[in-house]
Amino acid sequence: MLPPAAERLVAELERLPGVGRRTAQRLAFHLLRVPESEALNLATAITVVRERIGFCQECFSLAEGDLCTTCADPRRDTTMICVVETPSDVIPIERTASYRGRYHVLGGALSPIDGVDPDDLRIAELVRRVERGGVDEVILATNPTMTGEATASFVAGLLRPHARVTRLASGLPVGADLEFADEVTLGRALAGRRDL
Amino acid sequence: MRPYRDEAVVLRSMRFGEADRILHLQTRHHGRVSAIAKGARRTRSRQGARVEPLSHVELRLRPGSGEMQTVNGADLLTSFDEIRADARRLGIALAGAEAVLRLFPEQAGNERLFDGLVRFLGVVAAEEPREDLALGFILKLVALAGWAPHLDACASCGSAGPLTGYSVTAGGAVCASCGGSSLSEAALHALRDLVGRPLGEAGAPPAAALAQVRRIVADSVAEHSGGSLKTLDQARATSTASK
Ligand SMILES: [Zn+2]
Ligand SMILES: [Zn+2]
Repeated sequence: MLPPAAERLVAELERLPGVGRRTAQRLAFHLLRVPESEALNLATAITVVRERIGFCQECFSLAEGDLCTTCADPRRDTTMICVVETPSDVIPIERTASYRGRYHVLGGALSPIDGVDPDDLRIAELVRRVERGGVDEVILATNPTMTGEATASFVAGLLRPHARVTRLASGLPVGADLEFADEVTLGRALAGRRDL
Repeated sequence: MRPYRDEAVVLRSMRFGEADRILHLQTRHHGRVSAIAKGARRTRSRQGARVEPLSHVELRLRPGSGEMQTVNGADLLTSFDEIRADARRLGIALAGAEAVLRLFPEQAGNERLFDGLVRFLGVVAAEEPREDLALGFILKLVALAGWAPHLDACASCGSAGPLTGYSVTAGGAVCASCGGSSLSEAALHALRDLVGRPLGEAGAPPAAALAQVRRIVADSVAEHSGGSLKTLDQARATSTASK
């Protein structure tokens, strides 16, 4: 129905996460309707981001150049490393504005059944960073899922001789009613209760 | 098709789309089911925590036009969170789950399989985590799938023995003239125990016998499912490490 070039755009947009056929068509028509320069700005931004953005050589977050903004910032605390699964996991932790240390992005989580083994993640790089010294605490902030927990306990076993290793607490969402909590989360919140 | 309720164990869970998960389920009455749990990865989702791998749940499922069904609701029967919290238990349980995935792909109810799977998870959650729990469970699965190993006479020629080898293609222990891969007296004894006694009640085999049993289990699953178990090494590594 669409001319081949437009059909190709729709097909490419449809491959994006969360975009179905109808949304892809709406976006494609939008790009055809706006001034040419505006549509080309998007194309340029995509080209530039793919050319310039790579992985930080220190922590494997996204970086423009050798180091990410966190690793390049001399005010960040170098004695703490927060370990996450993916680069996008850095964003919610930065939003808390209560963490001033550095990061380490593993690039996923261990899952032998899916063929993701320790060698497929940046675990050896993390161990080397910690062994180099100067790191007092490693915070394991992998997801509270089976694969995230398995990764945390594996990494903890390797790092424990060299630094204090901590794990993000599991608990109830702030502002929620107790009666709406699921039993697994509430069970962990009970197990991890603290003295007041 | 109309929505229905069934008991299920989550064998595998994969990220899908923005915040969904695709679950591979073993259900009591409908066998293997693939279902999408929408929004399961959002922090406000109550479903997410209930459908983590190895959870025993009661689900409301809605069949779709294709293979994929939709999870409309989940009630937790047993979370088995203590398994996921312990790398050794997890390694053992995942090897069992992967064997179920490989050996029982049918969309047909199998209550013996389902009850056995739930019992296996209960034992892994409660007992000292040992690799032979996984090996024993997988041997029982192979038997339940119709390939019970012959361990009392030569599986190839029928002679009374002595049985000194194991042949996966013959389906059991074999005599010296029929060959097979080497099988010690202790390994034969361990196989009989693991197949014949209730799960978790067989004694721990000595290390050399355990190695032979491990190889037989791996070869049997590969022979009957056309693919090798990826999690077995993990079960071995984690159950011997960190003790
Ligand atoms: Zn960095
Ligand atoms: Zn024979």
